[in-house]
Amino acid sequence: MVDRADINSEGASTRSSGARMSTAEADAWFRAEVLPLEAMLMQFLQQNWRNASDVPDLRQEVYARVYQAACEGLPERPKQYVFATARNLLINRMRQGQVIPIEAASDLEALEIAADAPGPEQAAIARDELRHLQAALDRLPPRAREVILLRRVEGLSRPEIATRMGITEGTVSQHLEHGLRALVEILGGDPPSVRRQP
Amino acid sequence: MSEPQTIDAIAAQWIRRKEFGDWNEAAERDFQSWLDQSVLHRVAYLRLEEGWKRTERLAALRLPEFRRAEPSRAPRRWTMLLQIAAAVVLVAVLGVAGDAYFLHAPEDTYVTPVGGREILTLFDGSHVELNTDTVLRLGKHRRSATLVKGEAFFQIKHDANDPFVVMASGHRITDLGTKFSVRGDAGGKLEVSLLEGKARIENTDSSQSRAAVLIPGDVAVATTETLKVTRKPVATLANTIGWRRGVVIFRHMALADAASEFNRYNLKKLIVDPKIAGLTIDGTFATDNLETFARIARIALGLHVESREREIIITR
Repeated sequence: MVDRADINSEGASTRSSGARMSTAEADAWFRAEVLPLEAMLMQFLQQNWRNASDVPDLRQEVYARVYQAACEGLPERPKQYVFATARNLLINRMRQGQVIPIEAASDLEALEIAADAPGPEQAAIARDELRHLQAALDRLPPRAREVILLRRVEGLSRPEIATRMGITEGTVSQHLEHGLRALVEILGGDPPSVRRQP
Repeated sequence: MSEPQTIDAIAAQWIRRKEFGDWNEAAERDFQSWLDQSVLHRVAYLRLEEGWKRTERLAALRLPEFRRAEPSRAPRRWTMLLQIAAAVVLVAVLGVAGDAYFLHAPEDTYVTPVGGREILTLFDGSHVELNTDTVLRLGKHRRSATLVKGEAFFQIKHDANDPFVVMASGHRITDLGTKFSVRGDAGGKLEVSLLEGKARIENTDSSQSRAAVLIPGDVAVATTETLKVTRKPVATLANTIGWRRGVVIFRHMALADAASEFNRYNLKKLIVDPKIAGLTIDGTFATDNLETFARIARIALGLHVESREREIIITR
């Protein structure tokens, strides 16, 4: 279960007092309003948390809290709500820890500011979606990339992909699953505006 | 794997199963109940599914010349033929498997193909990961399992009043709060590695009873006649479950053993000349990466490698 007792009044104030959402409504809202913020959210978490390996788990925790809150009524300002939730989570984690990480403590004020700062150009990302996807694919292990391309570009079935690549269907599945996870991580963690090739 | 990574892996598995049509009513039920178990499950799924939807745009990369070059109707008919052929093959395979396994417990038997891997989530949040070429049957109340064939990793939520029990090759393994891996081979040899917690292994099939309590680092090797427990560093033990990350890890492993390890995952088989079977090899390889393995045998060990359609033969 997700505990959201620590979402403070500021976070709550951005929420409408609407009726309880259906799962389908909450899902659609989450896809449309929250997931596109992932690159910004990752940047925020990475900048404000010392241990980089915690960041994916923190992100999922933020998502879970935001989703659960949305079931009670959709926040009016999704972006502010997501970042307020992230900030509260980080502050809580720091308090729970025996030792407050020095970098994190010195950034407590920055946490406030970063939440309001504009993120990478969402419009630019949408315009460059295909190029962005291709760049992300280029960073995948070759075989995972090949499976995704054979599926999405050539529309091959699993047995066809297996035959084409000379691997078992089980291995095709493995490559698809690993490839998808890595791809989403790359798409969310590395917006093109941050890592532009020289 | 940490808990969130396991969730992510399971979410990816659901997406892959939907994508490849590996789906039925039972799958839909399991999927919905998994989603409802935790908000963390739901958001992990939504995130990956949204990512997968984004890759639809890659269809734009289809070469227009390719489409124009074909007569307008022909490609469609060809695809239909392929689908029919695939469906027949599928039914045939299910038919065979059905006789062997599904007769007794239709929904509780899980099978992975050569090269496959599957994570099962039980209702109490316990996880069972099946390695390549494995058959596992879950008991009615989901607190017991029978490993019919292959290898599985168990991450069990402990319940002292209702301990989880694994049956394999005439032995019973009882969880006393545990992460452990069980591997049976064709010769009836059983290997149980304990990574965390505690478990008890005992034989069930002979009059002479043998039993041992395993603690982290213990590897029990059991046959119908013997039960031997050795202790290894837990880090070394972690190498034996590299498959959970899709790799095999060799540390001073005899070439013949390394080859048979690879052969569990691939249809193309490595065959090592018995004269050089004792040479050792080190390294971490993707389970399907026979080429790199063969290259290392050739370059680092100076061996002769001959690649045929269904096998790779390594000689001096």
